[in-house]
Amino acid sequence: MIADGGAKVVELRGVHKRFGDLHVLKGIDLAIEQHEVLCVIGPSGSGKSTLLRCVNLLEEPSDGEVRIDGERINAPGVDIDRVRTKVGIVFQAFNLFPHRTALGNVTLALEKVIGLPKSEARRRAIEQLGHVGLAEKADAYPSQLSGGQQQRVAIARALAMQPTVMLFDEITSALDPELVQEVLDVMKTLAREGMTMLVVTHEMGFAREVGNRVIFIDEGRIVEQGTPAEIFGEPKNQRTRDFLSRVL
Amino acid sequence: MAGLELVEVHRVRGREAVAGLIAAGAALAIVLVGAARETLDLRFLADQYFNVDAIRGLGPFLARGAFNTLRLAVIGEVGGVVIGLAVALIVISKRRWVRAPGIAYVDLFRGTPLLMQLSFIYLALPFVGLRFDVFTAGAAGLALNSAAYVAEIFRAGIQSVERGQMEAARGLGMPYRAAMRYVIVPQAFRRVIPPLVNEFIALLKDSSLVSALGATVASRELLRVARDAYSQTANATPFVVASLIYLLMTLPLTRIVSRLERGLKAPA
Repeated sequence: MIADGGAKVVELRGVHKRFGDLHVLKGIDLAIEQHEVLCVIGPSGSGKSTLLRCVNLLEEPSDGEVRIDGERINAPGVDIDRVRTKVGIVFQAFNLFPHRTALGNVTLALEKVIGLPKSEARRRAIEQLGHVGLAEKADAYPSQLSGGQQQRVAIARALAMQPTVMLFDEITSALDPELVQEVLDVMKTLAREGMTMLVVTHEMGFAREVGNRVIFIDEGRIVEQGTPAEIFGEPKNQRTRDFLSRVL
Repeated sequence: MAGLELVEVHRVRGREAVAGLIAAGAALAIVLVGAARETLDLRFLADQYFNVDAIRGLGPFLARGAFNTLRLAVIGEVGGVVIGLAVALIVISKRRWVRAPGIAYVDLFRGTPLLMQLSFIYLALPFVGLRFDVFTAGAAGLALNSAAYVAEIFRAGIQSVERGQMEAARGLGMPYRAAMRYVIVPQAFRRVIPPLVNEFIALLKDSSLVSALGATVASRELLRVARDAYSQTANATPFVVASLIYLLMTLPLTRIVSRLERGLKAPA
């Protein structure tokens, strides 16, 4: 268990996911506590992105339970839209809305989902864009921003909803190498501020430095988990060692 | 951006040049073939097709006709876009029983002749108490018919928007409808402008079918004005003039749209 024994923000119990005959997740159990940064590593195709997408039900688990703040969310009658406002997600491909400015990307859900008045939505959006260092780019369209800037806007967009947990799905993988750092820096700041984070990543340096806990997943199962020092310093499982020797 | 614009302009110029060459070539071919077969009667040609006397006094009627044609096409397009978008949203539903009536609508209106649809509205609906004048029936028929094509245009446009856009919107807690309205459809709209203009051009010409229901002097559309003039004088010049007016109405559209598209693609 985690040192401070905080409340479980996210909990997965026996989660399976099948796409037709393809069995992607084979019984995942995990919990993320408040203020924890949980990093998920593993080879491509291992199921890490699917795992993350099960947390906000962008993928519906075939079996098992998903709980947010103790509430089971993959059950009939749950208003998933309400739950999703508490779970921010940032994608590998940014997925900014190209027809809206950076500001417009951040304000959209504030106005249309939370129902904030325009001025209040704008104020909060500017604040969040400032948080990721892009206040001066508020009026720029996504096509006028670099990949790193777009991804930071995407982070601001998710943060503006004031989620209780943030999901990051390989968010630096589509970036040019020289733009990776500015995005990682934003994530580090968030971690320092105590944001609860689930981070699927190929950035082993980030996982080692920022993660409280690291999970190694392969072929749909959690193979090994522990502190970064344990996983990167003395991995017990042969598959973990093989994987790390390939990527480090 | 400036470079791209230049390429675009060049392409348009190039297209005009090619069209001009083809037209000139065709005219030359007609003259040459006629000359070779010794049947070319230039005076007859001029008298039948380019006779100023035959269109004397026709100006106000042609103008009125062009105005009616434009009106029918505009109502048809606007109605078609409104109904077509609704049908498209029904057709992309995951639930089969929601989809079914939308698909049936598209099949029905694309699969039967427009003239029959117009006749049905004007001639059959009065039996159930729905009586329209020719113009209203015609405009409604054009709108309902074009909605079927527009629905297919929107469906393709909506499905061309990257999956990640819907996921990003839903991930922020937006319900499906809000995601469609604020994220997906606005992007789809930009992408379907060219086919929507094609649809409008088709409507400009299809509107000539409305006259088949009958016409008063005030409600005649362009082709009907020309046909009436022809039947009075047995001279084809009004058709030539009407064709030129159709061309005048359609040509600027493509120009305006290519400019519009460029503006929307890179909003600055």
